[in-house]
Amino acid sequence: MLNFLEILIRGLMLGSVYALVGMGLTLVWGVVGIVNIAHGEFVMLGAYFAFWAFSLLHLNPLLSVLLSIPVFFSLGVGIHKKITERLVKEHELSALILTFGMSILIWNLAQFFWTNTYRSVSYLTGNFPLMGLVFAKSKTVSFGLAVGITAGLFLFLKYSKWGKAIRATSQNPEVALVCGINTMKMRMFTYGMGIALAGAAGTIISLQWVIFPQMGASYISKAFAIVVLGGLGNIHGALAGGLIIGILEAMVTQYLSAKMAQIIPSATILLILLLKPTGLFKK
Amino acid sequence: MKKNRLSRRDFLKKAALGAAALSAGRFSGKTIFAQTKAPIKIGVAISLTGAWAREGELEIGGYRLWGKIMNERGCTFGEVEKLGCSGPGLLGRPVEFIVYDDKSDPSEAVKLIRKLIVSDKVDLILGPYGSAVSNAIAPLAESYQIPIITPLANAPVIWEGKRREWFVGVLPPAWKNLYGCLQIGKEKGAKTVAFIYSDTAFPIGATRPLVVKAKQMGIQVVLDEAYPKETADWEPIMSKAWSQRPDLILGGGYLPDSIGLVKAAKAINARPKLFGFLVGPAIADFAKSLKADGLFVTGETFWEPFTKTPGNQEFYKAYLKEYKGEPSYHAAAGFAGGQILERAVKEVGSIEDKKALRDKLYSIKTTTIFGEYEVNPLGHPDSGWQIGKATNLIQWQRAEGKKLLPNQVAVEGMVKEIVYPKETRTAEAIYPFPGWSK
Repeated sequence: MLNFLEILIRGLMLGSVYALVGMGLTLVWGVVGIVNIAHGEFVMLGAYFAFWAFSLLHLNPLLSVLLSIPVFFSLGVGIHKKITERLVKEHELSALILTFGMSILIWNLAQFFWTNTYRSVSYLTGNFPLMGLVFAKSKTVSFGLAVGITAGLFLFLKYSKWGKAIRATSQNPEVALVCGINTMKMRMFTYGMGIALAGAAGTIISLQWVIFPQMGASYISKAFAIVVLGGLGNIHGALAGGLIIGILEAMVTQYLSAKMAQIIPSATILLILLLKPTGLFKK
Repeated sequence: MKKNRLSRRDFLKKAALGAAALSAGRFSGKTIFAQTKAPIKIGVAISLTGAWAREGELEIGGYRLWGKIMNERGCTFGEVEKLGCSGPGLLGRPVEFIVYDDKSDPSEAVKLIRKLIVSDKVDLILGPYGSAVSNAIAPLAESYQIPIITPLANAPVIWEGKRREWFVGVLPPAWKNLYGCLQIGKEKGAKTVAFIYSDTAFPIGATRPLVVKAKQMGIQVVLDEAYPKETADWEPIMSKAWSQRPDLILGGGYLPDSIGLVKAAKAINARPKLFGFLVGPAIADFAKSLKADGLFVTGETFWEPFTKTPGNQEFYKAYLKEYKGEPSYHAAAGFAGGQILERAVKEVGSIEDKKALRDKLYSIKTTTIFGEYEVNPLGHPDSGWQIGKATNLIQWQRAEGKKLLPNQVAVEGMVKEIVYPKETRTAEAIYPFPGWSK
């Protein structure tokens, strides 16, 4: 029973980071209408951001997480303004091809500048016991950060003027425009938020796993599964989807096999598209 | 007053002189081959991106260094030097590499090797990184009848019972990689072992035979599980292994696996008596990445800078000068692949007669900077499989208070010590694992 509880909590912690990645993707998809294949690459950039800040500037990785949000937000806003905004009214395939190209470009550049050397941030590497259970320090802190960022995002979207405008743009851009909302600005803002979430997730991931230029690929497949599971553009759904995938992964690895756990994202996409294409949590 | 201005004629003269001087400068420091000598084109399809990019990068670094030295002096170091250095190049022809990225994907490598043979018409081929890719391209060597030396592959699936006639290996059989861990465990009284390993050809080939050997040695196997190659979080699988409280946790796959597994073990406070992981621990990145958490972890090595093989000192110095970083056994194996080719080509005296070259590769017994080279001969069921080379087991130990051997370098306050086999060991294995650093 103790073991089960430990696995469950570990799955939950894992899922909270997946949720962060998934929420960024679903936000951009739902509001901007762009399927950002390069989302995983921004996760990778976030991880490198924390690594370089830690090794060159000796910046505490927890500070990096907070710092990454404005940095990646600005990066996202810049990219959207200069590149992706012009694709909004184009065929969806154009955005797919462009972001796919962007993904290849980003990891190739990362590989060129930072080489294929595997890096990791040696910070909070130990564990601590609590009520008979053992918790990894890095995962516990990561969980706290992920929960904090998620809560901030929810509060922002629910109560702030801009948050409401983003939701309106997501639900019906034409009506939002008629109501005086600058939908173009909202798309730019949302794209920035999506990239900021990916960057923050990356900095959190750097505390736990290995950093290398191609690491984004493993997160994008999970992010897609989360978006499909939670429903396109549904932030609450993405949170639930991330947690479900994380818990399933931990449980299936423990009680069945690690190989079976790996097929969870693709199996999820297949099952949801077959049984409930709108996602489990689509209103 | 004389005007300090250039006339058009003066300008043209000076510009022509300048251009001539510049072009001469471009060639200075480079070896100029007679125009009649066409280069020897060596094709390589290797992992430069994807999961095995780092190992591939190190291996190609070894190949390129060998090519560079050949183009400068016509021979490399150690035993092969005794064949003579008859001027720059191999048989007096410059060595030129055509390199493609197989993206750590065996099917991509197959396409690229075909392209190298059919379109680029390369003269020779040096192998990719890893067993999965090597296994995929081995049949091409047979069908196109072009000899391939693969320095970094040793899964049984490549050679066992396959009677390969054009494909030779440099590494000893994969099951020997972590065999030292079982031996040390047995000597020290280990009763249980958990195997967790990546689900690809090499880790499977390196680990599954050990499951049988562990049982024969009376060590109970409490877990034998392969995890997917794409794994990015090793905590669930490490947690599953540790839930059985084994004395030994062995397996892994490549460099990211070993780093990830150690981080995961510390995160969940797993404390078996010995950790043994494939590939990664021998690479300096492992220690740089994990720092003190890498202490007491063991892994296989086939070469170290302090190994006493002929020409090793010269190779080590040349590598440091060329790349400004420490070589790993991957780079040394790449260099040795070139040296084996160098010996075979020089002894045959031609690169056109592929069959003679193949026969030579299957029959020579030599020692490179990497160690012994001897493969099962043609006609043997496992022909081409390396039998001469020995495997060592290293363990990261504290550098403090140790007298280091020449070229034995400390990384993050730790040094690699050879702990198995007894004949070559530089230190006694630290067993049981003393616990995690704070």
